[in-house]
Amino acid sequence: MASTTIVPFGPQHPVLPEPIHLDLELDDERVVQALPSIGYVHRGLELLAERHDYLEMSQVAERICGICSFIHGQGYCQGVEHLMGLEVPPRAVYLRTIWAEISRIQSHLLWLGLSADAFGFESLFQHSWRIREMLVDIIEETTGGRVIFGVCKVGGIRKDVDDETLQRVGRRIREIEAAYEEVARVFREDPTVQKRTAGVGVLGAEDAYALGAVGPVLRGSGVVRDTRQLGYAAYGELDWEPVVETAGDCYARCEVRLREISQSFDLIAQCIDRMPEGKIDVSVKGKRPQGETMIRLEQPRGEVCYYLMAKGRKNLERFRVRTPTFANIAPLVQMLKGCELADVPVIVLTIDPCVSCNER
Amino acid sequence: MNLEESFNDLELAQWVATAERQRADGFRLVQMTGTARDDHFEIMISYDKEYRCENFRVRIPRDRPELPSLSGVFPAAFTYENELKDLFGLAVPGLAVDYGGGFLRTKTKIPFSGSVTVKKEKPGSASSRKTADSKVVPFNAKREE
Amino acid sequence: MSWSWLSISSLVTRSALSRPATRLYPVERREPFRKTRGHVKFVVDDCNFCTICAHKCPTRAIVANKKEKTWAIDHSLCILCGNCVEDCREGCITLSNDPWPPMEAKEVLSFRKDFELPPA
Repeated sequence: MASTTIVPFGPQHPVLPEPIHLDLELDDERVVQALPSIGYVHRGLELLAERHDYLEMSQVAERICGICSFIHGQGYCQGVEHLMGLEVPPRAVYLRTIWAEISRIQSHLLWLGLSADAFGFESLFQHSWRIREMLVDIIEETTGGRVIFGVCKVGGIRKDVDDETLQRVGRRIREIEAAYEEVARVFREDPTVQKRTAGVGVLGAEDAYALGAVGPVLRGSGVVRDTRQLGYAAYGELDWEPVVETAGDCYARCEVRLREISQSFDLIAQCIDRMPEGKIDVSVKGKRPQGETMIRLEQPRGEVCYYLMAKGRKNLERFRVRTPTFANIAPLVQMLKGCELADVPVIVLTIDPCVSCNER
Repeated sequence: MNLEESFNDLELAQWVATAERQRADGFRLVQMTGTARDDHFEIMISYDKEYRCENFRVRIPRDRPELPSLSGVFPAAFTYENELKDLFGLAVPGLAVDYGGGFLRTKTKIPFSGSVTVKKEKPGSASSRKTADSKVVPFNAKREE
Repeated sequence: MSWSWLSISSLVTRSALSRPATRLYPVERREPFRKTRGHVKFVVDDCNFCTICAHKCPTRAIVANKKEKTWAIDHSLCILCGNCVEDCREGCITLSNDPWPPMEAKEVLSFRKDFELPPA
């Protein structure tokens, strides 16, 4: 038995812009074991919640991650609203759903571009990001920010979107969907994509469930589980089914994200059709959060958990975020066992690592 | 929205036994988290099955911060346990993959273990904002575009 | 495995023949959207130095002093949350649509009200 070599991978790596470090134990070109470690950008945001006003924290919560920024803000606000016993007006709930879905699409498109880049398909990368840019424009038009939406607050949303803009966004979404379908066809049909992803990094359904995988990693392995099924926000009233693929390889995870984008376009259209009239926020004056709760939401990368505890003071006692990437680290270690060194970047990318958001 | 989630208190001795029971019942490990209190640590674990979440909590005294590992029951627990170890300074005997405090490479070691001290920043007057590397535009001036 | 190169080649050919998707940025600028949070604008003449904005600022980018009648904003700290704009009772703080240009150093913009108009 030949001795093994240890190859360090990251935190600076040409294809992986995320600060994760992997110690790869290699036997020739094959990975025997992978040991991940993180913490390069740990910011201690959870402690910040114990010092800041709970209203100010919604802005900090949104800055946990730059890609899934809106859903972090939404989760925090939902948690605090639950602790305060607030009922958010339906219009705010629907608008939150629209923004959450737009951010899901842009996150998946960003990932598709990055994964195309990881297997060396530069033009596909550029085309994915061209389409993502159209969505970022919609975000800017409706909220005023491109990355940080800044519209979610405890008790509702900050700014209303008028009906004319909503109709325009609805038409624009249809155009973007048509442009997206062309790019999606390349991902589905092009032999380069298939050669690099099909049969690589296989994770079985039982392993995925036992290791606590979340999001597209879990659904790509054939487990039907989408936290949106809890029916938070407006998801309980919309018609949709979780997207599931059974192969469990990198290609299946890619396909889950491709289909989720189409689904999100559909969800946005449904929300615009059913948009209720009315107020967009309720007053939080004189109320303080009290109690504890566990809020779970579906982010583009999977299930995110917020644990909030408050004792009726201005700041929360404890704010804990379990981001989807953290749950996906253990499945990643399992996937990396026995793969080729050249496939490591592709496999690491298919869990859609967001290490910075992992380290609150 | 479904929020009927239970928070149950556990004795430390039942920690592993509960995990085994949950695992046998087909639950999935969702997360583990810690909270630093004045005289003890609170460790909470959440399991999920078919969108129903169950949370269990144990208290760990500060003078003997030890948490038995769940690595044998849930292999994925190693990430959470290493995180608890790195953030709160708990000892986790029986940990499958032990980084020895190097999983989260934070600058401050065990940053979450202490009680929270609030650092007050006093806003000074407008002119006190000027630091060596800042460019202060004079009063009532427009920035040239 | 399908060997269809058609999908990507048609996409690439079409984009090679059409106008670029990008803009020549500093020369050619897009009209900012109506809601774009560009930068915080301040009109010192309307201000009565109530200092609510300074208290509401989550990053303490705004420093206001009632006695000296000064108001300053650090644009490198401002996160454009809009709290000050919402809470300003005099309407002297507004949100402009034009993005603040990139900064090379911390930029603190200070204002001082030197005299007040006599009451009419």
